[in-house]
Amino acid sequence: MDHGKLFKVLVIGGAMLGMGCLEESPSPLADSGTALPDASMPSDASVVAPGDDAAIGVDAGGDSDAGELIVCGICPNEECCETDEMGNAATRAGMLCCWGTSC
Amino acid sequence: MLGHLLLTKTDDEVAADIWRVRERTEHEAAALFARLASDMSEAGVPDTLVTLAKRSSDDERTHAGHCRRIVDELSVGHDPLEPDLDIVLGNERTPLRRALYTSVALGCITETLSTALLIEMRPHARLGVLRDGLDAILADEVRHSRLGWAHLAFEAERGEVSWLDASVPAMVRDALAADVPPDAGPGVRDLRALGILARADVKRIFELTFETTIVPGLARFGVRSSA
Repeated sequence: MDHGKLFKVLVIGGAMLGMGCLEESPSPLADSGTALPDASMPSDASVVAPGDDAAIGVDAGGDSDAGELIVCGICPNEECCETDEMGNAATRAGMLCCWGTSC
Repeated sequence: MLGHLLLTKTDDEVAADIWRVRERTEHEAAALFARLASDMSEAGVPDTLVTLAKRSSDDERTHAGHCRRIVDELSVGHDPLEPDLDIVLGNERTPLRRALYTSVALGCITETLSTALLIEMRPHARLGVLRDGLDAILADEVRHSRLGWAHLAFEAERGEVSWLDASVPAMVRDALAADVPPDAGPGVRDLRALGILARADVKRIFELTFETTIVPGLARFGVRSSA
């Protein structure tokens, strides 16, 4: 058994769900053999290894230039958000707020 | 006592005894997930997770049905054991803490371990009813484990969770007690084909899963485990 995959599928997969950054999906084991698949449960997201920051590649409406977004939790928070000179808060480039929250 | 009885029973009867205990455990898990859903709702946990907890409760009742079919296939006269449907994990008093304690004990520890054990068990299963049951249960256990990690991630985002540190050893002890089969003594039988891993294998898988998945998972969200 690949315990690295176990970590990704359960811990990282669960964390993404808990942060509202993924929808609950069928179990990745439901249609597979005995091997534990990668944690990229939904087709639009992939997760990184233990210890890394929670980065997910998000298909932003088919825009292939959207790049990787960093999951930065429930907004507003300092990691996700920045305020311009006019006092307007906005999400930092490359960051993704969870649970549909915003800056 | 079970260890003594193991010496005089057939392999199928020994396995039926263990699957009957698993059946009871599934009913108790159904009750725990139902209470978890209620506590989560009261604690302001997002509906996605509350719904998942309710679904998990239904899953566990289905699992009990799988266990019953396996028991009946293996032996006769093994009536269901009476589950403790009032079971509560931990001594937390607020819905938020009670829910999180349950999610971590049940999802992050017990269901994570169960997933690892089921993956190990699955290739050895001989009976059709056993393979079907293991497949169905494994698919659900992954979701139940994720619910635990999801809830912990959510609570770690909105508040302090290090109060769980002191509880991890007790959670681990409970998980071990539930999953490690009785010691059959010398001349240990190989019951893997009947869905029963050897005690030594369970301990090995538990230690590996604990070190590589549970401990780093808990640490990721600020819970230290010294078990």
